[in-house]
Order: sequence, then C-alpha cells, then structure tokens
Amino acid sequence: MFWNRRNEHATDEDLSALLDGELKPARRDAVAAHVDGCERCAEALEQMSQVRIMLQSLPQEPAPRSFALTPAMAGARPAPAPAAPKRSPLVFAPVAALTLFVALFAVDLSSSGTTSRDEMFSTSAGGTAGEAQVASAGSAAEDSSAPERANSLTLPEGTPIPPPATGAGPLVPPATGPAPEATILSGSSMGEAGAVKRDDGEAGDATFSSDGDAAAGGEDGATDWLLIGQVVAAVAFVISAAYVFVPGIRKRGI
Amino acid sequence: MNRHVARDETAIEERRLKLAREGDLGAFNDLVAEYQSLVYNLCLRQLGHRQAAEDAAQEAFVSAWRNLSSLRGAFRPWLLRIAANACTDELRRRGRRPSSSLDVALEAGVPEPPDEDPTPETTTLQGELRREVEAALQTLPEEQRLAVVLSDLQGLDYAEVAAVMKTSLGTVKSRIARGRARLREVLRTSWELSGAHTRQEM
Repeated sequence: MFWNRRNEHATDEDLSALLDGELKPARRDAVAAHVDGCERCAEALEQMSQVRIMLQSLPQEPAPRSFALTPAMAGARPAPAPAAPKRSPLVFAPVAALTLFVALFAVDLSSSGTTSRDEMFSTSAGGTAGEAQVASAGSAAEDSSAPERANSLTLPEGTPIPPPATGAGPLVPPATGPAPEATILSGSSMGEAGAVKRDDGEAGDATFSSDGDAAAGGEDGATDWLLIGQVVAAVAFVISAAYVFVPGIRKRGI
Repeated sequence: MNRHVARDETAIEERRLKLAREGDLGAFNDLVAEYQSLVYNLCLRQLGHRQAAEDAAQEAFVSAWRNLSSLRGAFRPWLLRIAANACTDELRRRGRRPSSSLDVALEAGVPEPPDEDPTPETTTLQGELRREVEAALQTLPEEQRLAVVLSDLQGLDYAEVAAVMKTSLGTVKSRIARGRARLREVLRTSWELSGAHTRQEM
C-alpha cells in the first residue's frame, strides 16, 4: 500500500473524509498512520478540522415567518392524484413492443414453418404444389450446392412481408406458445434455414431467379431483416417493460 | 438537527404525507412547520441573503406541494433537493453570484436575527469571525457550497448528501473536501490579514 511510503502525503479528500468518519476501515487506518508520522499532513488535518468546526458552529437562524401555504398559493393546482394515472400511457409501450414481436414471429414462422415441418416429417405428403416446391428447396438448402439452390423460389427485393399464407395457417398457433427467450432462439435457428423461407405463401407470385447465388442472398437478407425486427422488438419490450414496471429506473431517469 | 427521528415521529410524518397527497393542505402545512427551519437555513447558507432565502424557501414549499405525487422514498432529502433547486433558480433570477450579498444585506441595515445572545449550552460563532466564515462560504462554487452546508451545517452524512444532490458518494466526498480546502485558504488569508485574534475567539 502506497501509504507505507512516507513521501506520499494525504489528499484533502482523505483528510476531509477522515474527519467525517467516512473512510473505509483499511483506508482510515492507513491515512491515520501516515498523519501520525507526517507533520505536514497533521497540520493540514488540523486546519481542515478547524474549518469544519467553524462551519458546524454557524448558528441556525429561526425561520423569519411561517412558510405555511395559504389556500391561494396551494389553489393554483390541487395536489395531483397518485402516480398510477400518470404511468398509464407508458404501459402501452411494452404492450406495443410485445405485439410487434409476436406479429413478426408469426410472419417468420408462417413462412418458414412449412420447411420446418417438411424437415421434421419428410414422409408426410405435401398438400399443395407450393409446399412440394418448398420441400425440394429445403433439401437444396441443406445440401447447399449452388445448382440446386438456383431452384429456390424467391421474392423480388423490396417485396413487403406477406401476410401469413393460408397454407401455413395451422402452423401459427404453436408459435404463441414459447416464452420470449425461446422464440428468439428458434427465430435464429430458422434464420440458418433461411434460403427456403417464405416461399410457400407467395408461390403463385414468386419468380424463378436465374442467378442462384443472388437468389439465396436475397432470401438471407429478407430473413435477416425479419430477425433484426424481432430482436429490436424484443429489446424494446424488455427496456420499456423495465422502465414502466421497475420503479427505480424511471425515478433515476427524471 | 434531528438525524435520528423517533419511530413514532416517522409514523406521524407518513400519515401527514398520505393526507397531503390526498389534497389535505392542513396536513401539508404541518410538514411545513416541521421543516421550515431546515429549509430556510439551507436557503440562507446557499444564497447568503435573508430576503432571497425567504423567497426561495416559500417557493420550495409551493413546489413541494405541487409535486408531491412525484415523491418516491424519504421526504427530507426530496424536500432539501427541491429547496436547493429553488436556490439555484433564485441565483439565476438575480443574475449574479451571491458573493458578499450577505455583507450587502447587512450594510443595508437588515437587523441581525435574534440569536445574538448565545444559549449557554451551545457554542455558536458570533461577531466578526462568524461574518468571515459566512462570507467565505459565499465564495464557493454552488455545488461545493451545497455539499458543505448539507454536511457541516445540517449534519447529513455522505449518503444523505448524495441522495439530496442525486450524485455518487465519491462526488460528495470530493465536493466536501474541495469546499473545505477552499474555505481553509480563504480563511487563512483573512486570519493572516487580521492577526491571530480569531483563533482566540474560538
């Protein structure tokens, strides 16, 4: 400890806090030991102590008059009701964020869900031509061989996220089941199978891309945006919920 | 000051606060009576001017009444913070540093408060030395002065000062130390100019 070296003098901060008993025991002992053997610091401590005593000796003055509020002073605004109504508008923030998250997740799942099902139950017969297409595309993604990926159905760039397709309808309900953490994880695992996402819903409008790599890239991009949206919504939910429901955070923020 | 408030007094304060929140002005004014000396003295030391302190103290209580719904936690640090803010507003309104404003007030004939005859059991600074310390206090930057006043004049510990100033313990420690060190320099100069009589006066 540097205090053992006698050439290190005590700082004003140490001396001041020593007088107030606000140093941690180890620090207090070290500073006190140094002051004992150092004339300069002992003098500084003495002066600091005198200043403190003089300040403490300044007289308190009685209030010159009553500061009680007259009804006129108070009447400008009656005491507002307790905090609950003030909080209510903020409650919508986490609700909105959660709704957005669930919506994005539903879109994501409804478009990739068919693929998942095909991967899981590859023996089940595809109900529609669209699903059959996707099944082949799904295996293409697993092989990740370029010629087969060229068969992937893709959406033109900039196409708005489609509403949940009717064919994928039955798959949506399970999406609401998992807890938020779990859904984020499953969302990212779906991202890995992204090359075949969202094909079934838009099979009729989809076009075959002549460039396989570009097609796969475009699909990954769209999936990424969906994933980013989910993450942002989840983060927004956590932050806004904490802000609204954990009192300390909001208090410090004011 | 009453640093260790008895449990029943705390209960009384809680009850008054509850009633005041519900709009009971009488209950709030009971709190005013309880705290007005504390608030006025904080303002007086922060502003160094009696009339300004009176204005700021009144403003603080009006503000406290209006913002009672935003109170979380203990009442005293919250009220002292409002009072400190009222002082800041008052300083800004007057558009000048408060340095030597107390001297101005005294020169203008404002009478000394009726605490001139010291009560036997308490030793308080009087006379020339008292004026020197008061004037020296006014030379401090506002935040250092507030930290020193809360700590040395109002008897708050560092944690309470930190609660009032909404800052860290480290910052409080630093502000108090720098404030005292600066006072030491100012007063030392003053002592050297006026001889050693002040120490004997202690």
